[in-house]
Amino acid sequence: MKTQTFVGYILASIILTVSQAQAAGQPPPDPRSLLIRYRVVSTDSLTEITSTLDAFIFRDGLIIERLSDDAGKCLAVRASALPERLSLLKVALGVNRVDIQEGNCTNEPPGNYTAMREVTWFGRGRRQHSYRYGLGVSGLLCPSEINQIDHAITSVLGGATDALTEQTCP
Amino acid sequence: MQLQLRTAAIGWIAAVVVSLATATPGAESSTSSSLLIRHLRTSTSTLSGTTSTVDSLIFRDGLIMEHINDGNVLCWILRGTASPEELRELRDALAKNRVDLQRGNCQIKEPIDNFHVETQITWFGRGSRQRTYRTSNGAANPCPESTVEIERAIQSVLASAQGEQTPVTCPV
Repeated sequence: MKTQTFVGYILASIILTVSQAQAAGQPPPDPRSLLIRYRVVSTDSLTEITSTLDAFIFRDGLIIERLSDDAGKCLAVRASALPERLSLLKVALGVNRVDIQEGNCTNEPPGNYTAMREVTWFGRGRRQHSYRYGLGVSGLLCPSEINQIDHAITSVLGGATDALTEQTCP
Repeated sequence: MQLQLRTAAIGWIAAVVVSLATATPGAESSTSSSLLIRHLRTSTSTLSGTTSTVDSLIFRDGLIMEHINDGNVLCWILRGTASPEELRELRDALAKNRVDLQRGNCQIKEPIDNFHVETQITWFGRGSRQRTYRTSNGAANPCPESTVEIERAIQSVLASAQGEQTPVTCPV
């Protein structure tokens, strides 16, 4: 049993080392490249209205959000992230190993709605990693890493400045 | 833990509130970084029935954001920058051809057969002014030259975009 655990540890270390070496071999990401895509699909069980938020956070702080719902709301938002919150997000992604999160857990207390959240992180080269979580996804509580990443993302979106919003429904 | 959850929920609500608050009708929005055109193009293959969409946002400062969905499993995000000349020509075409009075519901021919193409164009002016109209290659009446010129100018801007396409997971 101990031997199996040890072999597993060695294998995991080798895989991690190889993937880090591969990432290190890639050129640094373009500052204008995509860092995070954050998607939230929520349904209010009382009104049965489903709304979708698609938010894109770029490394230079550009934020593009598309928000739509069944009731006919369609918004396009362009905004800028506060530099300090963007820095905190980058730190949170690294510290909490966004590249290995699995999701499939819930991070909210029960309520009269469901919300599926999907985070896609974009790394160097073509590296990217997605995971889903939220109310209605699973009964398991999310680990603190996922909650901290979620908090850092919503903090960037909530603190965005220079927001220009347009109704894009006809 | 409970505090973190509450904070995350508040952050999410705050993001939406910021979005909604800034959507107040009548607010001046014609700054250099405001939205100029939304161009939504839907192509359906008459052979396979597959529908692909290209949803493009053109901002006044030349920023272009495109969501591309090939209708199967592939989606991309493009962040690009329009050529200044093409952008200037688009602005001229919008003004000269009175985009604010366009009615649409007309036909613009496509160079490729076997596709039913529908296009929805929304122009954003000052404050909450905007105009939306649609064209299709299947409509009965041909579009007036003014509509065709606007479409041509939009296509030129989109084609001039210099940027990078990033593959993303398609919406569920």
